[in-house]
Amino acid sequence: MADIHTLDIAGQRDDELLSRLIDGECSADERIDLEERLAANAELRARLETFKANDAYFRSVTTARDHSVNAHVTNRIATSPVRRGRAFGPAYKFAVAASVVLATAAVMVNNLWNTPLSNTPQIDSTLAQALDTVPSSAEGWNIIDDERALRVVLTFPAADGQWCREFMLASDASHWRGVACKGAESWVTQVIGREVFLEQQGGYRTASAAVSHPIEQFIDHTATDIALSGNEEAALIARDWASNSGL
Amino acid sequence: MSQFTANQKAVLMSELTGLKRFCSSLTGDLHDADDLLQLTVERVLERGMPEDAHAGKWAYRVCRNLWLDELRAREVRSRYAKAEVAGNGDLGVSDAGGLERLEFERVDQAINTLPEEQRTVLLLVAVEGRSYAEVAELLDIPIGTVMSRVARARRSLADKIA
Repeated sequence: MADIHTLDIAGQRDDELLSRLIDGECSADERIDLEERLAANAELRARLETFKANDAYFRSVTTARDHSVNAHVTNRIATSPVRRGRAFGPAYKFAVAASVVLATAAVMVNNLWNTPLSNTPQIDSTLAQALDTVPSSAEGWNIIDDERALRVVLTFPAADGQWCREFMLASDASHWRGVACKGAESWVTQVIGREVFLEQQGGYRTASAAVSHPIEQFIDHTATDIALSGNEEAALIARDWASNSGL
Repeated sequence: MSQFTANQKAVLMSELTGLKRFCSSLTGDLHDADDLLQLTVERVLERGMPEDAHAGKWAYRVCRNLWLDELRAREVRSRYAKAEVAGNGDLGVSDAGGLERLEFERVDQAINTLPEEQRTVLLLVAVEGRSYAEVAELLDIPIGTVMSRVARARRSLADKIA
């Protein structure tokens, strides 16, 4: 015989089932069973409609309240520098087809930094050869010809088995930070911008967050795995950039 | 030194409005929600997060922990306040009387009278559209607890609004 306590427990169980139905958390069997019961039970249907209506009220009330975020909070985040990451989480792999990203990145950065694309450094054979062979380093410069010095910062894998390298390029006239990826023919600049990173005495000055941000964003969106370790990179260079399934 | 990646920064920015609603649900007061959100952001910026952390989930957990700390602090303060400030019931917890008189007042009041743990899970599920598994992860509670809290919240609301 069902007493009040038993009925209450049954009611709680039904409420939980209805809740899960609303939230899409029922199993297929539970859903079929519950829908059959709903078809036959007007009281249960009314309960479901009440729950749905209250949810709608809740959403309305929440929306009606001012949940705008104070500008100083957003500014605080916006002006915070970001970490120079060598590791890229798997959650951020390829939200957009990387080929599209690669194709549009140069234009994006051109707009961001108001630099005429024709003025950006082109990857000539000397620079390409240096990108092929120079190991990544946190400091020091590789003089690649009479006018330019190169530092490769890191190497990471991108779409379609491509390899990309973040680099810094210094000359008397301009200083640049960018990313190039190795295509079928040679290295292709994907993103690049002006940056002052050489002091007059030849020392090093870190990039401003404003300048580095587009490059970091590009890497975060493009990298399919963490940056290579020194040994992995050395092995890759030794294989003349041929991919290895072991990597 | 910066403590998060560019991607984490972008995710955090995109989660701010939802995080503000979460703060509002926890505190039951918009002014307290502003303070809690600011505290959360400062804590995240100050201490950073692992490179593989999801910035949104991380911030929700920081927010939740800060609020629990605040509740404990308020409990301690209230012990002294009760002894010294007779008749002053405002311990800064929630100022329901100061909230805007919306046309949804009855519903609003019913929602505000829900226990905080029920209100918060219902917000995350019914308003923010998060799955039970996500909520369990955010609040660090078993998924079965999420399930029962959501159902109890809906049941309570139905009783209060009827």
